[in-house]
Amino acid sequence: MTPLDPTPRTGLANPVGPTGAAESMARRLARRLLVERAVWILCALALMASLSLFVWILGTALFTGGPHLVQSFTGGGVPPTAENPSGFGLASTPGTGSTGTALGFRWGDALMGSITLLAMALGLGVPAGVGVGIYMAELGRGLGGRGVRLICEALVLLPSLVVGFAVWSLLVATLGGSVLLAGAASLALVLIPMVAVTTDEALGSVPQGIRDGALALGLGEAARTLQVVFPAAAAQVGTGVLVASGRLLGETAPLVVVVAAGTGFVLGDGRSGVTALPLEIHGFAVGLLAAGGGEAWAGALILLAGIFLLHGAARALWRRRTTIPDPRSVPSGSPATFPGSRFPVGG
Amino acid sequence: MAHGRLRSQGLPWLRLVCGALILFLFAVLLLLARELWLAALPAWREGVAALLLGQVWDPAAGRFGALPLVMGTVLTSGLALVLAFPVALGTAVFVSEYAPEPIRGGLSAGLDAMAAVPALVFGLWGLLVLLPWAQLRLSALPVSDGGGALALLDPSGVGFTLLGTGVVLALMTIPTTASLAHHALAAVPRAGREAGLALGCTRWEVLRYVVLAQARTGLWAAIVLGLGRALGESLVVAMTLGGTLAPALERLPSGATLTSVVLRESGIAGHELHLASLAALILLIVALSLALAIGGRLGVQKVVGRLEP
Repeated sequence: MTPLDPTPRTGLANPVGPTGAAESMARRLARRLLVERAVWILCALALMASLSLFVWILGTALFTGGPHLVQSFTGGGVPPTAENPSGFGLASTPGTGSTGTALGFRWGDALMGSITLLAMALGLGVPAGVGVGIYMAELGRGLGGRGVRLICEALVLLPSLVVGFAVWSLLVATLGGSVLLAGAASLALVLIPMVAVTTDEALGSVPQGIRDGALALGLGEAARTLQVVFPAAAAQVGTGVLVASGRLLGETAPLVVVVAAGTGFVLGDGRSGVTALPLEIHGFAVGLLAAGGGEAWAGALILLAGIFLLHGAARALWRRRTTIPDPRSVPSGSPATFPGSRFPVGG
Repeated sequence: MAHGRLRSQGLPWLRLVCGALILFLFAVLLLLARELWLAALPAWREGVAALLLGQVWDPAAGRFGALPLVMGTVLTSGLALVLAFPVALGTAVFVSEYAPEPIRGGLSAGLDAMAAVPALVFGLWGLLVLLPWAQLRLSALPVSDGGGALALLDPSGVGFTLLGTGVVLALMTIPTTASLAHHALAAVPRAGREAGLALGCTRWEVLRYVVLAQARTGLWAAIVLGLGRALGESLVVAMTLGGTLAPALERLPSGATLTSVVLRESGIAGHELHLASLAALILLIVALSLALAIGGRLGVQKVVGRLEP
C-alpha cells in the first residue's frame, strides 16, 4: 500500500501521508509529479489518436470524394460503364448523355430523396415524440410516467435495423404498403424515442418555481404546460430535434432493409422509387453499383455536409436557449448539456 | 367566468391527448412485435434448440444456426469496447481536465461533431481505406502459418475479419463514448476540484479521487451507449466483412454478427424458412439490447447506491 492510497470513502488523497516511512517527502513528491506527467501524456496521446482519426476520415471524404463530386456535376472524367446504370434516379432518363452528368443528377435525386424521407419522418415523429415527452415530464409523474420513460430508454438502445425489419414486415410484406411510406415510418419510429427523451430532459430543466407561478396565476394543467413550461424549453426541444435529424439523415440500415427487402437490391427500378443518400453510398461502397469507391466518397461528402449543417444549426439554437433562474432559487432538476452525442448513431 | 373555470378545472384534455397518443404508439409497438413473432414462427417450429445452438449458418444448405452469429456479435462488440473505452476516456479526461481553457470549448465541440459522423461513413472508411491499408502492411509479415494469436493478423484468415471488424467498430464508438464521458466529467461541479487542488493534490489525484467518483453514473451511461452502438451496428460489420455478398458468406463463422447477417440477407432471402430465421435473429437482437438496457439501468442504480453515504 502506497502512502497515497486513501481509504475509498473519504475520497481525498492525503498529500502528507503517514510519515516515518523510508521514503522521503521529496521522493514521494517526485513520484506523484511523475504519475501526473504520465497521465497527462497518455491522455494527450488518446486525444491525438481520436482527432487524427477524425481528420483522416474527413480528409479522405474531402480529397477522394471532392474531385469525384466535381466530375459528377461537370460531366468530365468518369468513364461510362456499360453495365452501369440500372441507376436508380435515372430510371426515367435514358442514359444517352455522358455518365458524369448522369451521376450528378443522381446525387441530386438522392439528396431530394433523403430530404423527402426526413421531412416525412419529422412530420410523423416530432409531434408524437413531443407529446410523449410532455407526458413523461409534466403529466404522468407516477408509475405511468416512469414506465413510459423506461420503454423510451430501452427503445433508444434498440438497433434501428430491428425497426426497419419489423416495419417492412408489417407494412410492405403483410399489408402491401409502399416502400417509401415504410422507410419514412421506420425513420419516424427511430425518431420518436429520441425526441421524447430530449423533450423530457428539456422540460425537466425548467425550474419548479415557474410551474408554481403558473399555478398561482390559476392556470390549468394544459395552459401551464403549453403556454408557460413548454415555451421556456422550446429551444432545447428544437436542439434535440435538430440533433436527431442529423442522425436520421445518416440512418442507413432501416432503409437498406426496407428497400432491399422490397425489391431484392435493385433500387429505383420503378417498383420502389425510393432513393436516398445513404442507400446510394452503401450501394457504391459494397459494389452493387458500378462506379465504385470514389463515387461513394462523393456521396459521403454530400451527406457529411448535410449532417454538419444540421449539427451547426443545433449548436446555434442551443446557444440561444433561454435559461431561467428559479424564482425560489431552488436548483432545477439537472444541469442541461448539449445533446450532441446523446444518441448512439444506429447503423 | 365560465371560460376561466373550464380552463382551470375542466377536462384534463392535454392528459387525455397525450395518454391516447402513448396508447396508440404502444399498440403500434405491440403490433410490430407480434409481426416479428409471427414472421419468426416457422423458424421456431424447426426447433428452438437447433436455431439457438446450431453451429452453422448456411442459408444455401438450409442450415440456420445462430450460435456463430451470437458469438460474433459478442466478440466484436466486446473487442470494440475493450479497445475503445481507454482511448475515449483518455480523450475525455484531456478535454475536460487538462486542456487549457481557451481551447477547451473548441475541443468539446469537436468531440460532439465527431460523434455526429454516421456509421455509414465509418464503414466506408473501414472498407475502402483501413482494411486495404492493413492488408498491405500485414501481408508483408511472415505470420501466415503461425498459430495462436498471430493467426489473427493473417490477412487471408478468418480471424482477420473478426479483428478488423472489432477495430473499425472500436474506432466508430470512440467519438460517442468520448463525447458522453466528457459531458459526464464536465458536469462535476468545480468546487470539488478546487478543494482538492487547494489541499495540494495533483490534477491526477483530483481526477482519481474527486471527479471520477462523482462522474460514475455518466461514465457508466457512456459505456452502455457505446456498447449499444457497437452491438446494434450492422452496417460497418456488413461492409468490413467483405463488402459483397459472396465472400462474406464463406467467412460467416468468423466474425459475422446477428445484425450484419440480417442486413445483408434480408433482400435476398429466397424461401420462407430463411426469412423466418432472419426474423428470429431480429428477436435475438431485441433480447440482447433489452438485456443491455436493463443491465445499464441496474448498473446505474448500483453505482448511484454506492455513492450515497
